[in-house]
Amino acid sequence: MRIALVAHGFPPLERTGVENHVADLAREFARRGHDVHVFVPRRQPRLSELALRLEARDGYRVHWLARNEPPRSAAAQLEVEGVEQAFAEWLERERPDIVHVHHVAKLGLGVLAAARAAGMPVVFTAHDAFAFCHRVTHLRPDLARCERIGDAQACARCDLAAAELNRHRELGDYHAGMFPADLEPAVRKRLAAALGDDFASRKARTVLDERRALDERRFAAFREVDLVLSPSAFYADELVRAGLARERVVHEPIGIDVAALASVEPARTSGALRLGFVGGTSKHKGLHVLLAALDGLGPRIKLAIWGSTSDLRWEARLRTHAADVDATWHGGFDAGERARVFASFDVLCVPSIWDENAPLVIRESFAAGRPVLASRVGALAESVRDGVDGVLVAPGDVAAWREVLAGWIRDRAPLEALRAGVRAPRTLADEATATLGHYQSLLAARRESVPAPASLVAFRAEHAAIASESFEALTERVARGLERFRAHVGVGGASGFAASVRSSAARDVLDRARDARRERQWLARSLERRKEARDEVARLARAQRELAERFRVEHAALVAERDALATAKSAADLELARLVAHAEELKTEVARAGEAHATATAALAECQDANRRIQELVRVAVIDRQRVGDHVAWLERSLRELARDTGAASDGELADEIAAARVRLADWRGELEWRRAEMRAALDDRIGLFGKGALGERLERWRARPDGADVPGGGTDTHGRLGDVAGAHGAAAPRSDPDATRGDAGAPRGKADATRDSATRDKRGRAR
Amino acid sequence: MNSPISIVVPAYGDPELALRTLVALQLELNARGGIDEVVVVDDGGGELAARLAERFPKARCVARTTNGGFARALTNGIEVAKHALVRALNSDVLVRVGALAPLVEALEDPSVFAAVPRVLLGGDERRVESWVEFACEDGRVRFDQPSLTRRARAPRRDVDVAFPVGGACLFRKRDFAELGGFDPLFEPFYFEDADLGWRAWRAGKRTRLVVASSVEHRHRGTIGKVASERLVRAAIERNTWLFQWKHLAASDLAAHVAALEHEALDAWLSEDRERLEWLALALERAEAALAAPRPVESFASTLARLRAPE
Repeated sequence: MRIALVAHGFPPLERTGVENHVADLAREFARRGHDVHVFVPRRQPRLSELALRLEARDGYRVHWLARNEPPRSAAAQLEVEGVEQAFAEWLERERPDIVHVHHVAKLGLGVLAAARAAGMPVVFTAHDAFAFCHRVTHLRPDLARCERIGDAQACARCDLAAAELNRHRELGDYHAGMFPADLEPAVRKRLAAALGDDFASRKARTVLDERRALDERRFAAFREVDLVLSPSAFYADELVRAGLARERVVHEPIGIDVAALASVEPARTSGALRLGFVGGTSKHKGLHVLLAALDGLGPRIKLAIWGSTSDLRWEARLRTHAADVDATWHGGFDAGERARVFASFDVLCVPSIWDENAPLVIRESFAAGRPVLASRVGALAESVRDGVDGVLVAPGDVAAWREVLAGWIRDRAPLEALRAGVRAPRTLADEATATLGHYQSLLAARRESVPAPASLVAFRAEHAAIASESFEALTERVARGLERFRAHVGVGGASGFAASVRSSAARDVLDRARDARRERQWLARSLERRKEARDEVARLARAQRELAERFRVEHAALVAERDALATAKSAADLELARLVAHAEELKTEVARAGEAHATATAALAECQDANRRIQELVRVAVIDRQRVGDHVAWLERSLRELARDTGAASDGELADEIAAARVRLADWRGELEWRRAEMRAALDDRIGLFGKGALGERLERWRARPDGADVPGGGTDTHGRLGDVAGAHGAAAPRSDPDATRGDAGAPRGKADATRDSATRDKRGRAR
Repeated sequence: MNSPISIVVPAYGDPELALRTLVALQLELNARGGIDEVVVVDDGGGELAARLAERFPKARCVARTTNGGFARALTNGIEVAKHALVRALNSDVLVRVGALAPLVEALEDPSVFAAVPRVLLGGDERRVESWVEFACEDGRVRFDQPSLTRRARAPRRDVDVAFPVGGACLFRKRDFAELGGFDPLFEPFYFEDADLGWRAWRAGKRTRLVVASSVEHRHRGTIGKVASERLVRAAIERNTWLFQWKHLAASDLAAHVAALEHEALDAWLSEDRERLEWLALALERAEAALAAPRPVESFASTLARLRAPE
């Protein structure tokens, strides 16, 4: 079987888990007689972009693709320019039966698309979260674990937060993210704001739209893969949660070459407890947690650190911390040094804070008979059996880590029990067998799905056989065919083609021709871009000129408008001043009018009052007229009665009679006054006689009685009015007399009453 | 002269397509007075033939148990044809009314091996598929359809063409048998008709494009359903080489070998894998192609006869 393995890096340039594992698989497949080709990118500044170089090793071939230009955007990272075409051409030449992609970083999704377009079955191993998290680790930029999958808003928030971190050059190559505590307060605040963004701003919405589009492309690319292998059940579930069909996702545990670690010396059971950390030292690997846990545990525990990171600031910090706790920093190592590495410690520590998948280092540790102390995170619980061959601790919980380590310092027995529980891990051979089984199943399924009409079967098989050959094999076949042809038709001489393809020098020429062709294509694309850029510059220049012209015209129009407005403003100012003056005048006028109004109001009130008084006078006059009428009627009645009583027959007789009566009345009054005087004198005598005795006081009170009971027929009435005809005839006085009524009621008397009284008196006087 | 015709329709698995073709054909046959016969060769085991028999009781249906491809089905149909004149008809070709009589008339000339109508691609009057030519340059023979590849104006009068396109031509059953029928060398498809027509030319018999006769090619053939585009292209390109190796004269071969070497070297240097695949496929059958009787007359000479003014 011709197998193409694709990865984002390869030893010896990259030496972390995935790269080493792909190398192991390639070697194992080749050992079993398969034709294995590894396609990997590599930075090769001396070669043109996308140039291919071949290297043969361990029975397989590595095809290095020159990738020198870093992607300049998230989209360019996902679809790296030129890679799809380069990979398609490579597939066309090598014609593998199956394409197994282990990672698409640095290559982009184009490798998946090209393999699919070439009609080859595609297998993808999900070594990390890239299929559903563009940040690969499923950690947010603040290094908190993300629980969401397929949530474009959550992913866009990560973009916004990463953009915030990227603004700060002082953070360097910060990898995975930054712990908020390590950031300046202002940056920390903005990071938190970005992670909680509500997409209200246009910029944030643009980021969201872009992220959504990119994620859709990524998900679509992985959905097209024929088979996805997941080293852990945890990641298999996550991939299904991301939308991959369950039937296309298979949990296929990773295997390792156990023979390489079989010779590792046994772990020590006495002396200082030796811990080991192996792998990348980026933040998400959690080495800082382990170092913090070692603080204060003393010299009875040692740590050996094997690994490195390009996050240089972080590594410098870790190295300082490592020196503080007397840890030994060994740095990176070659795959061949594994035995030495694992011999340097007794317990492997995996303090990761991200969702680890199935770390090779744990399997290697088991192969070397070392138990594992690991974080309870991601799929690590599938690798480490808590309490059997290792211990699982809450990720990032320094106290918990310290407690476990301190316990082992005090008592090594539990550690020995764990060591006894370690089992040999799955072998690379087992994994290779299973993987080849998957390949064969896919190829068989593909053969069965192709319709095979009888007339085509033979030709299709013949074509498939030739099409599946490598380029070298194909050229050799053609060379042999041409030699046969020449011989058959009797054309003399050797085949020039056959001689060429069999010459190494010619193959070098071919390599150079290919590079030249690729470079030509690259240059053509560059020229095309340059032309596009030039066109764009020209377009922008035109637009600039048009804008300048528009600016000139609109500026002139605006100046004219400004002048017109200035003139209008002057006129308006004048008008305003005039209006202000007018307003002042009006204000004065208003004040004046107000005064006039007040005067008029007062006059009106007076008029109304006068009117009321007049009306009252009229009313009183009416009443008085009525009263006079009544009085006249009474007088007439009295006169008639008097005439009847006196027998006077005429007015003269009556007058005489009245005059006589008045004389009598005057007499009576005189007598009355005399009697009163007598009475007073008598009283005074009696009072003087009785002095201040009880009788005297009684007489005094009697004399002073206000009702005048002591003055019969004389004095004033209760209204202080002198007695007159009416008073003399009080009993006969009309009961309707309103004054008498009011007087009885004791009502206060006003001006009208006084007027009325005087009028009454006048009338009485005239009547009298 | 109103000679009866046997119309052979190879069909495979697309009843709707075959029914449409037969309905169109029926109009023409009715116009001709019903003297012709229709032979439907079902390459799909007989199911299609049974369905067609219900609609066209007069049609003869030949059910082939094994799918041998277009050429073998056509050959099978020709073998059972009753009449001396045989009309091959693809199941995606619609016959226009009046298309048959001009072809029959053209065959009255004994020097004519086959008469082909204007086969209009998609019914477009400007795209005549049956106007086919060969060119011989630098030791290689190239095939051309001028109105398709160069948008050349199609002939307005009858002309000689390199071969009768297999899907619409009329020929004598006897001539077909004398020329040896279709060569299985070209299986599974393409270039059998070119080979047949060129053998006729080599034997001194012409193929005429009859402009008074028109059919429409509603390109919906069955090949695309059973073979990928890449495979179809491989068959065409392989057969192009095989055709040359069969028909180039001994005097042509030296130049041709040089052309072959050039082709291989150019494909290798440009890493054009497909071209090398085509060549490899052809070279696998080279001995069979070269085993055919070698013409005395050079390819160019035969071509010159074809192009000679009438």
